[in-house]
Amino acid sequence: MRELALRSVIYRTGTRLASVGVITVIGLRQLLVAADIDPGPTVWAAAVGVAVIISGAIELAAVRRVRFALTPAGLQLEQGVIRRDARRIPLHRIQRVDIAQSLPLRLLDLATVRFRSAGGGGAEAELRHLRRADAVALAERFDTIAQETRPETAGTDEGERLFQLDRGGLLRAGVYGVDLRVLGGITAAVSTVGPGVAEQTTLGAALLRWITADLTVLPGVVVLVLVGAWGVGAIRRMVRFAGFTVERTAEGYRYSGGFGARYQGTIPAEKLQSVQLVDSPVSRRFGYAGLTAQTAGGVDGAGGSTTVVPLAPVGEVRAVAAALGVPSATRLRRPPLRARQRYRIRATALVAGLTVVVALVGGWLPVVVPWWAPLGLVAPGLWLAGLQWRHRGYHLDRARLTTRTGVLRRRTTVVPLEKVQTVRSRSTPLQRRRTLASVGVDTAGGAGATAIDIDARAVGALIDTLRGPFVRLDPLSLAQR
Amino acid sequence: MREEAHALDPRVRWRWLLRGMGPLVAIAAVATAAAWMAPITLSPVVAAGGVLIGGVGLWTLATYLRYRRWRYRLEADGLALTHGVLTHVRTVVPYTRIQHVDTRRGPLDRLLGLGAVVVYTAGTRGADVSIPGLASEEADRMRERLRDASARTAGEDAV
Repeated sequence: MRELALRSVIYRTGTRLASVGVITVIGLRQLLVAADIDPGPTVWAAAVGVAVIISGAIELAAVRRVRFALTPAGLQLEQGVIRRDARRIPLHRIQRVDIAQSLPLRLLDLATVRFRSAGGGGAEAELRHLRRADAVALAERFDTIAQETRPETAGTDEGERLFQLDRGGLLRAGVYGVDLRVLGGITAAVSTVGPGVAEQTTLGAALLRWITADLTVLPGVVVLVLVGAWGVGAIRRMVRFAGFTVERTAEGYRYSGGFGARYQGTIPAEKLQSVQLVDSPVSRRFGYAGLTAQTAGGVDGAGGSTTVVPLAPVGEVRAVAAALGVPSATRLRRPPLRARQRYRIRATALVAGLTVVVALVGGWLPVVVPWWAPLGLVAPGLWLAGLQWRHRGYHLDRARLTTRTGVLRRRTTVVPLEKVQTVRSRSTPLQRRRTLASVGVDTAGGAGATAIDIDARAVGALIDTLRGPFVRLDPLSLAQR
Repeated sequence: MREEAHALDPRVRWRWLLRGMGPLVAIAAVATAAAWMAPITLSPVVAAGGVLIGGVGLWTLATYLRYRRWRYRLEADGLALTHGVLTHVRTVVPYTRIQHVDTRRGPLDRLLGLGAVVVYTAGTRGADVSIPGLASEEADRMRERLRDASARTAGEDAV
């Protein structure tokens, strides 16, 4: 049985303090200020020292208690300080061994080793951390054992390259990608720790005074935050996708990339359930799109979504989708015009509802909002309703179903008919009023595709085509016995 | 030749009706408390009675319509379900995709002599495919027929 690298304690202590420690300190400070206690810098330093020692001790114990061994039988793993866990993961459940190194880990010459199961999902087991050389040796040992026990997987290293992100592509992938999660994170951070920081630090207070003194700078600040969020998102994406490559191997598709942290993964060809082309208003404007693949899980049935192409010209994305065996239809049938009317009425009704709400509660708002102010949203609402109609559509041929939806971010999903698990149609009362209905299919792993608001008269034929590949039984043999 | 569509066992109406009573009583209690505390001249008894009578009426109507809409049928290629009062839903589960079939009987089901057949496919969202409210022995028969059909089309779960 082997052990983890001892210096991993440094990194693990650092990350634990960074995640838990900062929040604890801010919370504690708030509490002490509220109670009117000022412990002074010596006590603070001592408290930080104690925190470092305690978390260091916990991590040291955790690291020292891990034992692992990789044998032809599988991975044996023992861990846990208080409760001892012993696991054995059979070799056939491990699809590949990933080695990841973030920048701080590189400085310490450490690497995280992940044992991945089939599908794009999480890791079966994770070793934090080994010396880089040991990690590589472990991954090579896995390859050797896997080749000995599974001769059919030999020679998978020679892959046909399906896609590679060059420098220009990387730049565009970063710049065109609007990552709303970063903005959400900033909003959450500002609303939780923001007030505390603004009150208690001189810089925060000065910033707050500057903003509140002159409300005209507020739009500028908002723009600044938006640009900042977009910049952070762009850098994150670029770090993630540097040198991104997708190759075809004997068993499926392999992707790798990432600056500083090299990560790799595989999509077994038979686990691929559907692909999705995604474009945002910005990328669409320049004729670019991204591609993700949905897979079914290996053992536990959990599925996952994996990026296959971060961003590339639409033609290239289509070519990759076709290479994956799931070409997307180029011409989709839009919902009937009466659906657009439905979206327009819905948008208008939403604005009307908002107007009523503002008219009712307007008196309680801190700023004076005239009751008719929301009516200014009618035009943008109608425009978005039109976009929603334009972006919806479907196409069905004998081999696959393509559906598209989205108001701003447009998602085109392609499902091969042989992957369909269940077929369903739905119609709400409002849909029936306009002879509309939705038809959807589920695939393994919880993904699927739905054609929303199609002509209800086409539903029967559509479902019949979707059911075409299903195995049929002699009706007599189904009869009650 | 197509087997005709089956309705559920009529006893399922009692199951649905009774299951709605718990939340209804809770809503009536809230309405009573609200009438008690709010500055309006509404007797709590009237509030509770109104909510209960109106609620039972609506729920009974919903149950009746729900029962009338529910149909299931074993077709040549799969199990077809039709249901939904406001939103009409039609689901087809091909036999070849069925991973396993269970019967499920809750306390109310056992009291009424009912059972539900639950069909599992690899699509996690498809896990909610079930035929509620069959007569207990019919549920077992249905489970066996589905298992049999699934076994005869086996080998293609498309995962």
